Formats: sequence, structure tokens, C-alpha cells
Amino acid sequence: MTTVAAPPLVRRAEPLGTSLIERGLLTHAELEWALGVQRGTGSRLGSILIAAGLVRRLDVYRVLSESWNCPFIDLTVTEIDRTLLANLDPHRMAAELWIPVYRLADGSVLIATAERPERGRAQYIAASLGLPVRLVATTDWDIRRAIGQCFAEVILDEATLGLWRRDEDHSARQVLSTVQGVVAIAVLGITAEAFLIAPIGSTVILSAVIGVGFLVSVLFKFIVCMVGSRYEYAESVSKQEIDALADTELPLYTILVPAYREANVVGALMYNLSRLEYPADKLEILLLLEADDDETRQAAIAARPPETVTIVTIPPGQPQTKPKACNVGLFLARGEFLVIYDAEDRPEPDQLKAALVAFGRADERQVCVQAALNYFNAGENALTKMFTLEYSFWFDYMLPGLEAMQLPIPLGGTSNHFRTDALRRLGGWDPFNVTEDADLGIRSAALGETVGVISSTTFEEANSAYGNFIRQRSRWIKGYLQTTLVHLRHPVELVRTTGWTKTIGFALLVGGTPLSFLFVPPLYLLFAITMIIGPQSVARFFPGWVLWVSIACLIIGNAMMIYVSMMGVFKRRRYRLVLWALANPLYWLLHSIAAYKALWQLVFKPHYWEKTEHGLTSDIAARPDLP
Amino acid sequence: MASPATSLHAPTFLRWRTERWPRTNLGRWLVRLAGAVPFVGMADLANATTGPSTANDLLHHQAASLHWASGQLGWVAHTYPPVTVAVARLFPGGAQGLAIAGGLCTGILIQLTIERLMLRTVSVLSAVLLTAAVVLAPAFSFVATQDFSAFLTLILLSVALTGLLDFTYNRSTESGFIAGIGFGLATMCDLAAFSFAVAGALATFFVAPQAKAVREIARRRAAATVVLFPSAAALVGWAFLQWRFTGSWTRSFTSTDPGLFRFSGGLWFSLVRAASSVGHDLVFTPVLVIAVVVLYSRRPASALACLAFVGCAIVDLWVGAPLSAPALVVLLGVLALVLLPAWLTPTEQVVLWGCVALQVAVSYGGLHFGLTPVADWTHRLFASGPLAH
Repeated sequence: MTTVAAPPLVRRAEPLGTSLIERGLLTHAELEWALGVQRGTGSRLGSILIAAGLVRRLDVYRVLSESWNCPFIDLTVTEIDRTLLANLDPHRMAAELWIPVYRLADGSVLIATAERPERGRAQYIAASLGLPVRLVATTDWDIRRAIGQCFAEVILDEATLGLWRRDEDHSARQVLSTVQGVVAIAVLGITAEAFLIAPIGSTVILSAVIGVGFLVSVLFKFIVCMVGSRYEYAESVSKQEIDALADTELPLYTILVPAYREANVVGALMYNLSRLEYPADKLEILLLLEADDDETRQAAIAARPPETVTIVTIPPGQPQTKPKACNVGLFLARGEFLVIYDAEDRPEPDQLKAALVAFGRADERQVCVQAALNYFNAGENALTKMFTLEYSFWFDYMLPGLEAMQLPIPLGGTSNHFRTDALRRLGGWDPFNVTEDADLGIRSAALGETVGVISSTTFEEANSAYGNFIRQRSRWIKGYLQTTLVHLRHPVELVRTTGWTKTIGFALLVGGTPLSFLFVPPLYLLFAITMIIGPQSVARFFPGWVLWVSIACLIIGNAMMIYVSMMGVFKRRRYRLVLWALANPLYWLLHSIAAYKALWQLVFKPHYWEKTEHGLTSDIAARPDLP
Repeated sequence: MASPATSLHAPTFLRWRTERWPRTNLGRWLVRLAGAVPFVGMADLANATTGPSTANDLLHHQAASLHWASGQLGWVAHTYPPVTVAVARLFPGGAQGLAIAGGLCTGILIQLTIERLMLRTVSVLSAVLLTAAVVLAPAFSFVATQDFSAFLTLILLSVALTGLLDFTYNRSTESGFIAGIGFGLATMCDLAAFSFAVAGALATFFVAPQAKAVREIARRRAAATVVLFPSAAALVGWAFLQWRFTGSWTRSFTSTDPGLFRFSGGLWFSLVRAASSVGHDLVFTPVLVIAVVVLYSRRPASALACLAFVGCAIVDLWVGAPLSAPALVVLLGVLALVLLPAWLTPTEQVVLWGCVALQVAVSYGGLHFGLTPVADWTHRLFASGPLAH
């Protein structure tokens, strides 16, 4: 094979920097700079040079192989004997950076390694395989890529069915459990019978339930927001604490960026991630692309991503969802900590460090910290304004309030920072749940873990198209319904594990949110009827107090949501948006449309992932990637 | 925050918002209890000697006469103010019960007032004395035990004003919430409170510095909106409901307060009479007068904000909103304690304490000078009650 017949070895053990300069691959000034960085971060010189883009990864490892006195193997043109991989743990190989390549004529196995091929390492690998080995050098990237290809089926299977196999009841693969199905049929049957026997009485009871249910759901949010507002001056992490972090102590951080059909924003992604204040050689950025998404892949390559970015192709298979892609990323992730960003995200530069400080202060039970989300194109149109109003109160009041009240926190879709090991213990994301993030937050609480909040913000692109909005919201609402059903499979056990307060908080927030959207149209309808034909006419069929309570609940509920929305943007100092909060009832009507679509999809297409298009913004000032 | 991932780093000027006095929950409730006990006793004494008050009796009958579960919808016209009517309906004991409820609420107001002063670096003794100058006045006891609706409004307005100050000066949105909701609930207790919400919104324009920048103007407009919204929403929502259910936008307001929008004697005459009445009541609150003067000497616009509240009281009386003279006197007294600057020069301190002494003296000595109902009530309470025997 070509690799065994490697170029003649230069048997020298010069420092890497000197060797690179001798080959004209590096200048003295660049080496001085890199050595300076090395003193600050304690990282390997090779990693620094690669991360800074000063030397190609291949060149670094070729020179290293020479200094290690070891042949170099190019795994991109070498076929791996997969029979050697049986019974080997891909996680371990990826972490230790080695992979068997093929058997040699003498019966030993050729092993590709990206670490110094010392005798002890060879013995360790030989013991793992139970066969004699011969080590050759290659790049870390080649090894991970080879593992990804050779274990594609294993990775896909784990990413898709791992959670379901470990804990069937925590997976949304099955929409309703048998007991839930029976209960659902019984409730529907009794309701139908009640309407047949006493249609007016049933309508009255249903109206009262809907009116009060709507108010209770909104009132819960309002109270949580009030509690959250108490902490507006509580800095989760101070600037001093961030500055006190020494670069030498920073761990490897993995950033997962799942993207699908987002060729138009992938260029901006490179720019936004380059602004992160974190040593580049301690970052591992995995750009997760679907196998059929050549367009984004080409755009990513054209954007000339730095060496810290690895493009990972997700093996094809159903369900084709973001959580499945994230699970593949989790499988390959090497970082001690891990975060998810969407392709169009603009995290505040010190966010990774802020998360580390928060983790450092918390106990081991804290598996995740959620950064706040907000929008950079708030002023683009009415929809982006309403989106900004909503996110401002949600992330600035609701989540801190939930944290303060020690209630389960449904994570937002992006900027969730995890302890990687803890995330693996939790089972990763549920690929069958279309709000896998919210589900993960609730699952953490159900398993006795906690989620925290940091005040650092990630700016996203607000949805500016109405059709796109309905699609996105229907997915979110369907996901909340899925999450509710999943975690209420064993309500008694849930109460026993998390307590009454958390269970009720979860039910009101995750279950109550879609229900309140579903309740809005009947309330509006009743409101419209009383407006058109007059309440006295309606009162012939309805007790007056039911009518009165329903409409009062509608008015009070809407007023409360308007008010928290006003306060949210006021806190964000987006003063011109304050009056837009008055349009909240119309915005909720859009949610209701999405909610009914979600309900329909929950029955007929429960795992279908409604894709949200990004990069639609015309707000040029908001696009740093544009000239 | 609850999570260990979070620590508190509030600016020092905000300590009065992040700290409490007394520090423990138990301590705060003990102070409230200690403050309430004398007034509960007084309410009991008043019930025994002077009988139930007219205002509380009316409120009780208004609440008791509601047939909300009936098929008719006309009862909506008799439910304003809904918050106090609901409390009156739920609290047992009729008019006497409402007097006791008022007595219990005084503890909350006293604790909040002392806390606010204490955490603005006023000494314990000064805080207690300043609070006592308002609380020990007969008008205060009268409102607390004889007019539950007005007293509940007073407490809510006091909470709202404190929140407003913090919201305007320190941009605390938590306080903005408190101010807005306080004004909103007060409006649902007493129509007269709406004008104070308007004054609160106006105050946001006067108080904050540097109004020239476009962004600052936008901020003030936004601040005024969030202060006013709950009250406006409550009022408009209520008006809408009663319109749909009774056919009239104002019936529940006018059925409770028949003098509303009557302008007896003509527009101009009723305005002069209202201004004169409020000016008259200011005699009972010299502490407010000195507070306005001190504010004017430091930041004239802030004094304007203060005067906006006085102006709104005039408007209330002018349009015939149900704002009684004793309630207004107590409200102005509480307003003075909210607005009093934290730091005073030695001369200002001397003048302030002189005004405190004067206020106490006037509150007893000048009862017949404009606060006749209070004077009558005090006389009946102490002349014919058990204490007289």
C-alpha cells in the first residue's frame, strides 16, 4: 500500500516549529506569535498553528510524523478493514485518536494514530485488539472522519433510537402510551356523549373551563414573569469573573451547528463564530449537514472555514430532524462542554466563558445553562417586532423566574450549554420530539438534574414571513404537546420524582401554552357573538356569569400578556416597540392557527419536522456578512 | 437567584430595592402585626361605640346585593369598584368586618412606609417618627376603619408611588411592574385613582434627566405607557364590559358615585371649588409642602412631578370622583414620605422636623377646619364610647 511505502524518513527530532520553518511552512514571526499564544493557553503548538490557519493540518502532521520517526498514512485514500473494528468502541477511539487500518502480512495490525506513537501507546492498543500492532501517523481529522464513516450505521442507530432503547417512555417515538390512548378515547367518548345528551349544559361547562383555563395559564406566566423581574439586576456572571478565567485552564469546547438548506447564512456563521472570545485551538466546531444538502456543504466549503470547523455529514435516514443531527454531533464531540448554535446565531463574544463560570459555580447536578435569545432584525416588519416582544419577556423574565422558583425550564432551540458527559448520561436529544430542546430541559428536571440561566444573549434572525412563522410555531407547539404527553406518561412517578410544584409548573407551562393558544379562538368566537347579537340573547342559552367570566378572562388574560410584553422590550431598551405590545391579541391569533395545525400534525404526522427558513431578513444593517 | 449559577450584583444605590426591613419574613410580619393591632382595636371600639360607618355599610350592601349567578346581566352595573366589592363579598362580618380588615391593612402600610424610609438611609427613629406623623393623625384612623375602599386604594397608591420612583430614577422594570399594577388595582378600587395613574405617567416625563436625546424621549414615552397601561386597560376593559352587559359605558361608575361628571355649579365654579378644597387639605400636610420645596431647589422638574399628583387630586374633585377629604389628606401625607429626598441639609432637616411637629399639631388641632366627618367621628368615639366611662 502507498502508506507503507512512505517517503524516506528524516530521522531527526527537532521541535515542530523549527521543522516547519525549515520547510518554509512557517515564518519566524509566526512562530514567535504562536509560542506567545502557547504560553497563554498551554495548548499544543500544532493545535495553535492549525487553529490560526498558519499551517495546514496535513503539513503539521506530516512534519510531526517525521519527528516521531513514523510513516504517515493518508486515510482519505486508504480502505479500512472493517472486520478489525468489531467490538471496538468508537467513542474511545475518537477520544484516544487511533483506528485500525488493515492487517499486515506478518499478522500484525496497522494502526493509524494522531498522537505520538510511543511504546506504551502501542502496547495499550495491542492489548485492546489482542493482536500485535504497528503504528503509523495521520491527522486527528482523518481519524475522526474514518470513525464517522466506518461506524456510520452505529452512530445513526444510536442517534435515532438510542434514547428510545434506553428509556422507551421518555421518547416521543410513540405519541401516546397504551394507558394514555385509553384515557384519551374515554375522555373523547364521555365528552361526545355529554354533548349528545345535554348540548347546552356541556357547552356551558366547556366555555367555563376554556375561559378559566386560559386565564390560569396566562396568570401563571404573569406570576413567573413578576418573580423573574426581581432578578433583573442579578448578573448570572460578572465581567470580573469572566476576566479572571485563565486561558490555560479553559477546557475544550464543542460547538454544534446543525444546518439544513441554509447555504445563504453559512457564510455569516463563520464570521459570527470567529467573534467568540475563546482560544481557537480549544474550540471544536462541528457543522452538522444532512447528506442530501450539497448546497449548504458547497457554501460552507466556499466560505473557507477555519481548521477548527469540521463538516460532519449526517447519515441519511428517518426521522430527518435537528435532534438526530445533534445526536450525531454529540457522538463525535470531544469537548468537556458543548453548546448548540443555529446557523444564523450571533452569540455575545464572551458567552462560552460566561457559561464556564456558571458551571464552575454550580454543583454537578446542573447539566445545562441557557443563554438568553433575542433578535437582530427586530425592526424589519410587524412580525419581527412581535417576535422580539415575545422573546424579550420569555428570556428576560420567564426563564429567570422559572429558575428562581426552581421550576423546570424548557430550553430554547439554541445557545444551550451542556456538560457533555451529563448530556450523554441524559440520553441526548429525542429525535422524535420536534422541540427536543424543551423536552431535554424537562427531562433533566424529571431526572433530578437542574438547568440554569445566564444573562449573556445570542442574537438570532426573527422570522419575517408569515407562512414561515406558522410553520415554525406549529412545530414548536406540536413539540410542546409531545413533551407534555411524554412526561405525563407516569404522572404519579413524575410527582414523586420532582414534587408537586415542579409538576404543576411543568403542566401549566408546557401543557398550558399550547392549550391557551387552542382556547383563544373559542373565546374570540364567543366574544364576537356577544358583540354581534348582544349578550342578552346569548344569556338565554348561557348562564350570565359564564358569559361574563369568559369575556373577562379573555380581556384580563390579554391585558396581562400585553403588559409583560411591554415590560420585556422596555427592559431590553427597545422603547419604540412598547406600543406594539397592543397587537399581542392578533399575534396570539397567529399562534392559534399554528396550534390547530400542530394538533392536526400531532395526530397525522407526529414526527414531521417543519423546516424554518433562515436568511430571509432584508435588514441589511443586521447582516454583518454583507458588504 | 435560586440557582448557584447566579449571584447578585446590584448597584449600591439599589440596596433599598434588594434588601428588606426587617430582613426576615417573620420580622416583617411581626412589624405589620404590631402596627395593625392598635387599629384593629380602634376598629372594634368604633364598631362598638359609633356603629358601622356609612362608607363600609354601603360597600357591604353593594356586595351583598349582587346576584352574580342569576340569569340576568344587569348586576354588572353595580359591581364597581370590583376589587373592593369582591373583598367585601368574601370578607366576613359585614361593615364591621370591613373595619377590622382596614385595621389589619394598616400594618402593611406602616411596615412598607418605614421600610422605604429605612432603606433610603433614614435612621430607625426618624423613619418611625415620620411615619407616625401620618399614621397617628385622626384622619388616618378614620379612613382605615371607616372607609375600607378608600384605604385599600391608599395602600395600593402608596405601593405604586414607591415603585414609580424606583422605576423612573433607577429604571427598574420590577418596580415598573409594581407601579403599573398598583395603579391598575387602585383604579379597580376607586375611580379617583385613575387620575393618579395619569399623574404617574406624567411624572416619568418630569423626573428623569437629559430629555434632549431622541432615545431618551422615546424612553420616557415608553415609561409613561407602561405606567399607565394597566389602569387604562382596567378602566377601558371595565367600561367595555358594562357597555356590552348593560348598554351604558358609565352606569356602574355613576351608580356608585352619582356626582360624577355633574360639575355642580358649573365647570369653572366646580374647578375653583376643587382647587380650593385641595389647597385647604394641604394645610394638613406641611411635610408635603416642604418636600416639594426641597425638590424644587434641587431639580425643579421633580417638583413638577410632585405637583402633577396634587393637580390630579384637583381634577378628581372637579369631575366628582369619590375622593373624600380625609382620604386625600392621608394620601398627600403618604406622598410626602415617598417623595422626601434621602439627603437633607441641616437647615432642611430643622425645617422638616418643624413641619412634622406642625403636621401632628394640625392633624389634631385643625380637625374642625375642613375635616368635619373626622372631627365628628373622633368626638363620638371618645366622648360616648367605653373610654368615656
